[in-house]
Amino acid sequence: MTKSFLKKALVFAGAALLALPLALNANVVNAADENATQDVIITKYGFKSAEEEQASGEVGLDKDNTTHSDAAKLAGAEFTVYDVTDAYWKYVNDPANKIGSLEIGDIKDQTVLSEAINQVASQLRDGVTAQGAQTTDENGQATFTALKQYSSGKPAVYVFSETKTPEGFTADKDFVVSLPYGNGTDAVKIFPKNIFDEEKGKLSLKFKKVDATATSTALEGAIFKIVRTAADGSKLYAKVDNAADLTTLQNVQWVQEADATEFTSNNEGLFGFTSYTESKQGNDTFGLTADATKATYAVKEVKAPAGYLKDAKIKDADAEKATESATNDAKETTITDTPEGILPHTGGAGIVLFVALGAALIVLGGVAYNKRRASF
Amino acid sequence: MAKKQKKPLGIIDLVIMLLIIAGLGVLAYPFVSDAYVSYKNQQVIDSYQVRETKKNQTALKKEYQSYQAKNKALAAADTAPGVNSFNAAVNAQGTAKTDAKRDQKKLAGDTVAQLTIPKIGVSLPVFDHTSDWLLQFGACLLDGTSYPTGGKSTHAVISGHRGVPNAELFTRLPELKTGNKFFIKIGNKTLAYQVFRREVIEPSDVSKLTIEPGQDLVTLMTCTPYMINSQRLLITGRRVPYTKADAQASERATLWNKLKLYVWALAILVLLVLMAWLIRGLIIGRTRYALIVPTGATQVVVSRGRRTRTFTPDETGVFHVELPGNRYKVVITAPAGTTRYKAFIKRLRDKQFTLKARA
Repeated sequence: MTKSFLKKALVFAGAALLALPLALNANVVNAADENATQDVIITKYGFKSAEEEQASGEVGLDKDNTTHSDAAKLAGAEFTVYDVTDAYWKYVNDPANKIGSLEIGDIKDQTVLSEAINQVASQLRDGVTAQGAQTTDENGQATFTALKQYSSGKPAVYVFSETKTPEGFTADKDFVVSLPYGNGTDAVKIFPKNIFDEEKGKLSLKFKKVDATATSTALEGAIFKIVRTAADGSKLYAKVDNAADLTTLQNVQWVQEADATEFTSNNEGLFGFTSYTESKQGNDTFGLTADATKATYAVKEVKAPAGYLKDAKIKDADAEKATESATNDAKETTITDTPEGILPHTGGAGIVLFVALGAALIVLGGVAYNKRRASF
Repeated sequence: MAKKQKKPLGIIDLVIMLLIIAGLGVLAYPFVSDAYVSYKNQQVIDSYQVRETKKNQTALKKEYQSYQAKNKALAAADTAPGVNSFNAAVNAQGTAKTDAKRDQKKLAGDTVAQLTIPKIGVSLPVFDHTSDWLLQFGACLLDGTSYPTGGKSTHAVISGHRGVPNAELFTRLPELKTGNKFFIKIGNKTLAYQVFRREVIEPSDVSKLTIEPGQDLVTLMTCTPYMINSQRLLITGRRVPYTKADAQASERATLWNKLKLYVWALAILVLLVLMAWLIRGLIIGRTRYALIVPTGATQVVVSRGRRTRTFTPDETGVFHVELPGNRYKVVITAPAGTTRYKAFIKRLRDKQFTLKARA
C-alpha cells in the first residue's frame, strides 16, 4: 500500500516539475529578471489511506483538489527549501546520468525528465545549505516568500524537503520546483499530500464502566460524553459517526458539548473510539493525540445505569475523571459507578392508633362503669 | 334495720373491667415498650462500654485509628452515601428481615458508639451499619458515611426510626433545634455536636450527606412527616467542645433511659391500685345500703348528678331508705333546720351509709 502510494506521490511531484528548465534554453537571462522573485505556497493535505489519496485524483502544482471529503488540511508539516540550481545543472549536463540509453540532458519529454529528477531530488540537495523552513499553519499552508527566480544566471531550481511530518502521517518525498513559473509573478501553489500511517497513527480511547463495589461487574447502558481538554484548558467534546464502534478507525471531531456524541457502555462495559492522530482543519480539531501536553481526555458521565449513581468524581462537569492520554495500545480507563445509595425507611405508623384505641376503650369502660353505678 | 343485698359481680362488670384494662394496656404499650427498649439499650451500651474499657489505651487508639483510616479512605473515594441499593437487609418499607428477635449479644457486638441527645431524652447505641433489623432497636450508622470519630472531612450520618410503636428512638428528633447539642461517645472519647442545619430531603437525594471538605459533621436522619414518612429529615451538627455541663446533661439522659422502665413499673403498680379501687366501687355499687336518718327529720332529698329522689318518713316517723352503694348528696330537713350531708360507704363490709356534714 505504502509502495503504491510512493509511486503515486512521485507522479504528483513530477507534475510539480512541469516548468523544469530544459538544458537547451537555459542560458538566456535578462538583466531585468536577475533579481525577480516569486512566492511559493505549499498546502498540505492528509489522507487516511493511500487508496483514498489516489482516489482524490491528481494534486500537484496549481491543482487544488479539495473535493475529497477525507482530505484534511494538515498543520505542523515543516518544509525546508534548498536552492539546487547548480547541482541540477551539473546533474543534467553530466553525460553519465542516463535514463535508459538517453542522457538526461537529451530528454525532451518533461514528464520523463521530472520523474528522473525527482528520483534524485534528495541527492541534489546534498551538501546544499538550506534557504529556510516553513511550517504549515492550521489551514495546511506554508508560504515561502520571495524565492529568487534566477540563481547564478540560470532559472532557479529548488528542492522542498518535508523535514517535519504531522504526527501519524508518513513523510512525503522531496520534490523539485523550478522558477520562474507561470506568468512569473503569481505565487506558485503546490499541494503535496501525506498519507495517514495506520500503524503509527491509530489511537484509541477506551473506557470501561464497572460497579465500584464489585469491579468485575461491567455495567451496560451508562451514557457518557468524552471531553478533550486542551493545554490552554479549553474543553471540547468528541463527535464520531459511529459511537458503538470501538475499533474501526473514525475521524473524531472535537465540538461544543451540545453537538457531542453520547457514548453508551456496551455489554462488556466498554465504550470509546479509535481515531486518527490529531489534525487541524481550519479552526476545527480532529483526531487524538498521545501527547499529554497538547491535550488530555476525560469522560463526563451523563447518565448512570439504573440503580447506580454517576461516578462521583465526574459528576461535576468541572471536576472530571482523571484524564488519560490517548495511547496506541488502547488501554482501558476504568470508570466506576457506585450502586445508588438508598436511605433506609425510618418511619412507622406512629403511636396515634394505640393512643386513640386505648383512650376509646378507657372512655367506653369508664362510661359503662359510671352508668353501672349511677342508677338508684 | 336495713337488710343487705350483696350480689356477686356480674358479667357486665367483668366486661367493663376488661374494657378499661385493655384500654389502659393499649394506651400504655408504646410507652412501656419504649421504656423496655430503652432499658435494654442501656444494657447494650453498658456492655459496649465494658468492652471498650477492658481495652487498654493502645487497643483503643488502634481501634480509633482504624476508624479514622476508613474515614480517610472514604473521603478520598468520594463514594455515595446510602445503603447499597442491592443490599437485601434494607428495603423501601423498612421491613427486610425484621422477624428475628432482639439479640443483646449481637446488638452489643454491632455497637460502635453511644448517641445521647439530652434535649429529647435519647440515649441510644449506634450500630456500625444499617439494616432494617438493627433499626428496630437503635440508631444505625448509614453505610457509606464516616465513622463518628470526629476530625476534619468526616460526616457521619446516623439514622433512626421515628413513629414506630415499640420504641421512641428518633420520634422526637424534630424537637431538636438549631443550637441544641448532641453527643457521641466512641471508645474513650466523647464528641459534642451543635445543630446548625435542619433540612428535609427526598429519600433519593444523598447529596446532602456527602463529606464536606474540612468539616467535622454528624447528621441525624429520620423519616418525616410523622406517619407519612415520604421524606427524610436531616439534622446536622457541627463539632463543638465537650463541656462539663454537656457531660452532666448526657449522663442525665442515660440515667433517664435506665429509669424509664422503673417509672413505668411504678405506674403499673398505681394502675393495679386503681383497678382494685374500681372493682371495690363495682362491688359497692351492686350492694344496697341503708341510709340512717336522724329521728325527727321530715324529709330527705338524695341526689347524684342530675338525679334526685325525695324520701318522706312513714306514719311512725321512720325513714326506710335503701340505696346502691355510691356517693350521694343528702339534704335532711328537720324542724330545727336543714342540714346538708355527704353519704358514702366507708368500708366494704359496712351495712349502712356514713353521713358527713357538708359546709
